[in-house]
Order: sequence, then structure tokens, then C-alpha cells
Amino acid sequence: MSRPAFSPEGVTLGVGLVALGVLWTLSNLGRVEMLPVLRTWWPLSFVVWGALELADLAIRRSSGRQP
Amino acid sequence: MSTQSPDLNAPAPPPPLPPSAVVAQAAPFVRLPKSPGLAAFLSLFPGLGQVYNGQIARAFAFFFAWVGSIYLTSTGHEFPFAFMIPFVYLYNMIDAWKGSNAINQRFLGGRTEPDEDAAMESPVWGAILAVFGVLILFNNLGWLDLDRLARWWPILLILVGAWFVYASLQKRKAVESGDEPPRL
Amino acid sequence: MSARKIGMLLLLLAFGASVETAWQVRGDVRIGPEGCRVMGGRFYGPSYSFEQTAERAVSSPARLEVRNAFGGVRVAAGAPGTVRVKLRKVVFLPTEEKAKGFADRVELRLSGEGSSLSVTTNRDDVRRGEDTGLETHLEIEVPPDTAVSVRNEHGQVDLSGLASAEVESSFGEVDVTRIAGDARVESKHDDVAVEDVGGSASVSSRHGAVAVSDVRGAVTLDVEHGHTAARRTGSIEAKQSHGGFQAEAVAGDLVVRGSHSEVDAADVTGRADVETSFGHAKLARIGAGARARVEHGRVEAEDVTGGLAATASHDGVTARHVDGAVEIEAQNGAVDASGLSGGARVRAQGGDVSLDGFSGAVTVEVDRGSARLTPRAAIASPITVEVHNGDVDLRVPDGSRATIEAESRRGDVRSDVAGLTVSDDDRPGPGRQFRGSIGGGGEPVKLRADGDVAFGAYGSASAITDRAVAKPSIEAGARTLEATPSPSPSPATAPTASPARRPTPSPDAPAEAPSEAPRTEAP
Repeated sequence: MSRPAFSPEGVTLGVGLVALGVLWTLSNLGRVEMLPVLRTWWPLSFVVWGALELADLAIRRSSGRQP
Repeated sequence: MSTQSPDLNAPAPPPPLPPSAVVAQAAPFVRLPKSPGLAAFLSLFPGLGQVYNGQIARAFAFFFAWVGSIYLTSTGHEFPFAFMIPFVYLYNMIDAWKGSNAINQRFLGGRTEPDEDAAMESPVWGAILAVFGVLILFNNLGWLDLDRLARWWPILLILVGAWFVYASLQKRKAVESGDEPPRL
Repeated sequence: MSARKIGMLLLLLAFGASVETAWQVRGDVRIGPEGCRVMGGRFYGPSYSFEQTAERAVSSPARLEVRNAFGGVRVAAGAPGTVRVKLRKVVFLPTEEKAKGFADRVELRLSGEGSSLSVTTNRDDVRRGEDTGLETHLEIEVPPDTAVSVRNEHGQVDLSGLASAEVESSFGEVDVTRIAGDARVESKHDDVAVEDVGGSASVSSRHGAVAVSDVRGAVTLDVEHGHTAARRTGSIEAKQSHGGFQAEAVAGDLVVRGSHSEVDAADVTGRADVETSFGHAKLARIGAGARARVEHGRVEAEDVTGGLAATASHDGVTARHVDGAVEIEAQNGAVDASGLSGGARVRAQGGDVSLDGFSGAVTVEVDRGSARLTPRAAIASPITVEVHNGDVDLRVPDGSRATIEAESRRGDVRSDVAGLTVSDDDRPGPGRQFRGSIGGGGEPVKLRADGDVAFGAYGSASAITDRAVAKPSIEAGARTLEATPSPSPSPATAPTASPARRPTPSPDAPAEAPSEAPRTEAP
């Protein structure tokens, strides 16, 4: 079986931390309210992870077809 | 090597090593596919250890057996369901442990276990994650009322059950056609 | 599934749960801009009040619809032909100038024509995208024959002196009183009081207590997580879970389906039919028969006319003074009954049965307990008792005429009744059988037990059995409703207090009084 092209969990975690950092910085600067935004958008992490799993699968399948 | 007469005074050859030691000698560090300890620890939440072992049907069975025992006990049927609660809970941990060990034994015995991540060859897993996230996100944005949808949750049971049936039939086909060895 | 994926799944779920929890409790820790709602239900910081009034002529009979949030609604009977509305806006901003500027954008909206009128405000439009605290309190006077419908949240609702009332409310007390026709209330997260209703009353409540009194018509109740008290009403049909239920002076039938509820009912002129669990059922002075079924709780019934059917599990049954046939079943509990005058059929497991001062045919089955029977007078009806793992003791009053069969499977049969001598039993093995008669023979008396069977002499009936079954007592029904508008109710005065109602805050009460809600608005 082919190894994963990349780690969906790792990418999701990384992207999530970056997003959290950006949000927190903007909140500290008074530009946004962190908690309302976080409360509305946190499920996006599942969407991103799911999409990355599907992308990883697609990449592995296409590279598996290659000789 | 020249043939010689056996030397009766020579010390007896050492006994043959057991297979695990041969493997250990050939590869001093063998990464076993499953950790029985982790499986047992995850089973503190009934069913999660079986999920870790890739035994989804067993996971569902243990979870619902445990939850069902609690429910039946609380609704006036203490006998025998009160006894089943600790039994199911402990047995679920033991089963997860043994399941992990069985997988490791098969691995050491030379049977190849499918790469666990490659076991996610189906797009179902990614789709489930994405759909789950979309549903909650849409609810938070006010585009969906999850409270109203919640009454339809038993349809999930129907879908899961149908998937189990389908997966079992597929597996049987694969075993019968020789593509996959029968599972012990 | 790999441990990595499981770990990731648990991590994201834990993160989501933490965010949701932080969102729910943010008010308590004052996260967010000043003036935002806190979980105590109040805006905080300085506030300023402004009023706006409006008047509209309506034809009779009128229909009024009120929609509001985050403020009280009070509707009372006023002069005929006119609806008067006063809107009090309370704005939480640091300066009066800023507060007035904000308040000027909040408008009272009256729409409708003829006999139909709708009252609301544009607070949702004004508050969109704003975090400013705003309370809108409505005080409305309507003609007395007006049908009123109110939808409100996070504020108290007070309706009085109306033709009919319909309320949907959450996070605010509801008080409905002096309604000539029907009253219907749906409430969440606060208490409900309905009093003095000429028609029927229907109350649905979650997480709040319910008090209903002086209702001439039928009462329908659906209450969860709150206590219910009903007094002086017509027939009642109730669903009750997780909270006690009390009914007194019911002119009609009482039907209660409860769960995790204690049910107490007294003075019911019709039939009482009660089912509940994890609580008791107590019935007193029931006029047309009673049925009680309790899982994990006891049944107590007293002064029941027309028969009693009682089932209790994991506890016993007590019955006193029942006129009519009685059927009792107790699982893992004892049965204690006295003054049963219509015969009885009793089954008990894991507890003793005691029937004192009974008359009529009696059948008793006991498993893991003993039976003790004392008829009220000379035996004049069949008595059959079957006991496993226990004894039987039958008192035989003077003048009894009975044909007796007694069997003790592992014990003895004995008698100290004059004229009833137990002869020696020549059967081999343990136990004893006896057949005989008293008074020359008469009604069959069959007693069988694993333990001893004893016949005891007994003179006259005990005092308790001489009392007649008490009948239900209903006071004079709901107070007669006034035909003319009540002279006093006006927004400036508090309505007449009554024991069942809480005092109503005056219109000039401080801003924090009306709203007591553990909820915040969505961003």
C-alpha cells in the first residue's frame, strides 16, 4: 500500500494553530472579537481535515496508477 | 564446507531459536502495529479501543451493550443488567487488549496487516469529517437548525448497519476469490 | 484506525467543546464588551429610560398580538374601545446623550385595523450588529373583552382582566389572572401562575414551577423539571416529569402521567388515575374510583369511593377506607389496608399483607411475607389466602359461619377460636392439614401457607372500621368574574396581590428587575 502523500492531521493541526495565532493577535489589537469568531468557525477544522483526507486519498490513488 | 565425521566430544549445538527471536535477531527493533496498552487505555471509553484495532463493528457492539445496560438498569430492570454494566465495561478493555495482541501475533507470524492508514482507502472517512464540520458550521451561521434535524438521527444507525452488511459481503467476496486471506 | 487519527478526533472535539463552554459562560466572567448581557440576566453599567406612548381605537371584541423580547409585557383591562400602549426603553450607554440617540431609533410599531391589533418594536433591527444593552418594556391597556396573545422572552409577562389569554414566554415569570375565557401558556425557564379563569386552562412548562388555581373549566398540564400545584379546578389531565405534582379540590376527573414525580391529590370528585415513577402517589377523598400505579414508589389511598386499583413496585401500598372493590399489587413491598368494604384482591411479593376491618370476598397471595387478616364483622364472604415463605393469621369474629380448609406445608395449624378445634393430622411428613367448620359451616375460608396457619378469636370490629368513607370536598368554584372593567388596574398601580402570586414589580422599578435570564443574545 502506498504511504500517505502528506499527513492530513499534521497539516490540519498546523493550519489550525496558524489561524488561531492570527485570530488571537488581531483580538489583542482590538480588531476582532475572538470568542464569537472562534465559536462560529471552529467546525471548519473538521471540514479542512476531511478535505485533506480526501485530497491525500486522491493523491495516493493517482500516484498508485503511475508505473 | 568439507564433510567431516562428527566429533562426539564436541559440545552439542545450541537448540534452534524460536521464531520471534529469529525475527528479533534479524531485525533487532520491530515496530509492532498495535499497542495493547493503548488499546486498553482507549477502552476506558467503551468501543474506542476496538476502533483503534480497526474492529468497528465490535466497537459499536460494546458501546451499545454498555449504554443499553445502563439504560435498562435505570428503568427498573436491575437484574440482570446491573451486573452487565461492569462485565461489559471490563470485557471491552480485555477484548481491546487481546485484539491488539492478536494483530501483533499475526504480524510476527508473517501475515501482513494492511497499513492502517491505507485502510482508510475509502473516501468515507474524509467525507464524514467534512460533513460533520459543515453541519455544525451551518448551524452556527444560522443556515441550518440542527435541533430540528436531530430527530432524524436513527437514520445514521440504518446507514451504519447497511454499511456493515455491505462491507461484510465485500470481504466475503474477497476471501472467496482468494484476494484476501481468511481472518482468524 | 490509527491512534493518531483517534487523538486528532478527540483533540478537535475537546477544542470545540471548550469553545462552546467558554461561549456559554462568557457573561459570568465578563468576557466581551461592556453593556453585554450577563448570565444573571441583566445588562450592566449605567442606563437611561425613555418612554413612548401610542393609542389606537379598536372595535369590539378586539384581538391583540404582542411580540417583545428583553423586557416585561403587562396587559390589563382598561377602557372599552381603545388600546393604550406605553413603551419604556432602557438603554445601557455611558451618557444620556448617547442613550437618547440610541433610544430615538427604537420605535413602537402598531399595526392592524378594525378589531385586530399587533404591537411590537423594531429592536431587532436597531440591535443588529450592536452590543448595546436595550430593554423594551410594554404596558398595554385593552378593552376587557379583548383576546390577547403575547410572545416574549427574557422578561416578565402579566395579563389580567381579559377575554382570553395566550402566552409564549421564556426566561421570565408568567402571571395570568382574571380571564373570562380560556388561558393557554407555554413557558420555559421560569415560573407560571394562572388564576381565576372562566374557561379552560392549558399550561406547558419546562424548568419552572406551575401554579394553577380557580379554573372553572378543564385543565391540561405538561410540566417538566418543575413543581406543579393545582387548586380548585375542573378536571385535570397532566403530564409531569421531574418535579412534584399537587392537586386539591378537583371538580371532575384527575389523570396524571408522571415520571420521577411525587403525586399528591386530594378532594377529587371524579375518578383519579395516576401513574408515576420514582416517587409516591397519595390519594385522599376520591369520589368515583381510583387507579394508581407507581414504579419505585409507594401508593397511599384514603377515603376512596368507587373502588381502588393500586400497583406499587419497590415499595408498598397503604389503603384506608375504600368503598368498592379493591385490587392491590405490591412488588417488593408490604400492603397495609383497613376499612375495605367492597372486598379485595391482594398480591404482594417481598412484604407482609395486613387487612384490618374488611368486608366482602377477599383473595390474598403473598410471596416472601406473611398475611394477617381481621374482618370487620362475622365472616360472611369467601376468604382465600395463599402464602409462600410466610405465615397466615386470621382473626375470626364472634358469630362467624364458615367452612374451613387450612394447610401448612412446613409449619402448624392452630386455633384458639371457640368451636374451632384443630384435630391431629395423621399425614406423614412435615406440615399439617385441617378441614372443619365454624358456626355449622358457611362461606369457604381457604388458608394455605408454607409457615403456620393460625385462627384467633376476635370480638367486635375495631374502631377504625366504623368511620364512613369521607367524600371529596370542593369549595365554591372560581370567583365570579367581574362583568365591567376593573376600576383600579392601571400601569401605575400594582395588581391586587393574592397568596398564589408573586408581587409584581412597579413600572419604575430599577432596570435590573424585570430580566432574570441565563441567556445571551446571539452575536
